Amino acid sequence: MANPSDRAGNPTLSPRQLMVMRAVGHRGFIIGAFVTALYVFMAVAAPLIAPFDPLDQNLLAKLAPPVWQDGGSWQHPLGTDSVGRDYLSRLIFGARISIMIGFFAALVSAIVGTSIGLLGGYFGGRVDAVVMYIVNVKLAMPGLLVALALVSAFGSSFVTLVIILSLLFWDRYAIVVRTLSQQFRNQDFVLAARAAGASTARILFRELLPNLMNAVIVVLTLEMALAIVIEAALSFLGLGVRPPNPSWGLMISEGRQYMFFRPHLVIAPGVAILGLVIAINVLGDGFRDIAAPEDRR
Amino acid sequence: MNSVLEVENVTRSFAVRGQDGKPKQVQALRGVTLAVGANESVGIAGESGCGKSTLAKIMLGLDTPTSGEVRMDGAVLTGGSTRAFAREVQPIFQDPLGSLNPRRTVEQNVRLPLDAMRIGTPKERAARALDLMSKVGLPERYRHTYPSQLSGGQAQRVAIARALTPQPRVLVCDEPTSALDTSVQAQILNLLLAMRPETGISLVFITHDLIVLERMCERVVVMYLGEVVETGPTTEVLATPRHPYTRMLWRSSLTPDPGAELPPAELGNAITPDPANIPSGCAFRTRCRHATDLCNAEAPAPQQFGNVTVACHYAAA
Repeated sequence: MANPSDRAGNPTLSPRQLMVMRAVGHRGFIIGAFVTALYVFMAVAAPLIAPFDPLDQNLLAKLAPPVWQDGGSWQHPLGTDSVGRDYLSRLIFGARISIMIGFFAALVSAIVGTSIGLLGGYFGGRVDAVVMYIVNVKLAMPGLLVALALVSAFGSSFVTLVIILSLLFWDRYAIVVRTLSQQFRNQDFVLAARAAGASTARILFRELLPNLMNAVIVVLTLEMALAIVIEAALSFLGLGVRPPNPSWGLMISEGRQYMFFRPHLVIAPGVAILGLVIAINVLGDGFRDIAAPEDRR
Repeated sequence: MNSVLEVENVTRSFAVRGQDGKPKQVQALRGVTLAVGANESVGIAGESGCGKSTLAKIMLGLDTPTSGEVRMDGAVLTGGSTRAFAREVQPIFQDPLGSLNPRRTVEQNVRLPLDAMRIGTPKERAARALDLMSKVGLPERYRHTYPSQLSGGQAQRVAIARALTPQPRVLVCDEPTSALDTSVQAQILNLLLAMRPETGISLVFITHDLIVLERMCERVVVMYLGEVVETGPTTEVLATPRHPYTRMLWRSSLTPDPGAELPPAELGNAITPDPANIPSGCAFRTRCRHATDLCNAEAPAPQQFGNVTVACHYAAA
């Protein structure tokens, strides 16, 4: 209970200030944030930094070698693909697709999963039984197969891809949020809010939810990384992003037939996926470390 | 005295599963009646498990009694909305930090009842919150701080300010000082006392701290296994406890008396009956050294001794 603020008569640092201080001192978080920021910058500024239009074909210059191989030139640092599109530009524009699909899939599933978990955890009883039943059904489904089936049935526009990927990922949010709300629902501040005449919606979204946000953000980063990998996998199988759009998974698939004499056509998008996924994971782990819940005393 | 808050014959039982997996009924409250007068301070004492916290929840509208009702100025609140309770009865909890939302600033925590019940304009709410913060002794610079930046005593001041914002008639304080440092307890109790003349508020203290009972409460209610066993003016009940349970409770409390020995552990030795399986007759008989066949057979009816009411067959003795 002893608190220096009693003596000084001034408040100590706010939780936000402390979090910033912890973030600055956390190497993993800084590295993860930096690399993720690089990818996001690449995605946002793609038209400015990419030397060519990623869709422009030039059949005269197809399969140009990268700069480090014989015949390579700085005009196409990573060479060109089988229809003569500048590979570096496609790689840069590919960041847009990966990040957009990954982020929106993680976000939509976060909204669905958090709402379901919040209801089950707070109300308990029959509501919780229904929630757990739905979660168990989800866990029993072979998710990737269902996703493949749905994509082949409904096509693979951006929106359907995001929706189908969200259906794969909401369960982890639901379980995490449900457990946390069970812990919080009987805490005195929730009772105090009820005794203050707060509506159930207010208690759920204004009192409980802010206390769960850190956990949701941690899950969000991990699920976003997973969504990026699955998008790449779907695109590789030809069920994700449609050609000629530059998706990294699609690029690996297209480069596959040339991988023995132009290995970078497979390696470059592979490294791009690997780097982004690792960076997001490290960022999420770091966030978990620095986001000490404010009620930790 | 005219009563503000009345609890009439309230019972509350919970369906639980025992360790053997069989369902059973736990009777937390078995017909509790009590009244809190205007500007009166009432203490509720008893061991853990005697139902005092359930009673507090029912008085706050956080729990619904199995039977019986809670009235405010004669109007029945039980069965209505929580909001009807919220305007009249507000809580102070034991753990002050736990009772504040860690994600909201001091001002937001204090404003909560006004925001939740949409009382006044946002500007008026902010003004009222600041006004109450200064009344409970929190400088304005704490407005935008978070509960984790406060000490226990400061957090309890925030909780008191919050409870007072909707101008309730009754504060239900559940062990308001037992989680605080000794040096801060007196400050918080004095603050609660100082609020009374100005607001005309009634206080209900749930406590087993005799000092709190003696200093803060005009009247005391002693509960055992979901029943009121003795009630009366604090001075009388403390000086001449008539129920054997009250005597035990008083005797087993520790007092800072130099050279005094530890009190005899009478209550600790006896086994508290299972609230799902309450003894026949007088519930206290299994632990009472004066128990007779009459106590086994018949539950004692409350008897009046001046201002004191006692539920014991041998209370006159």
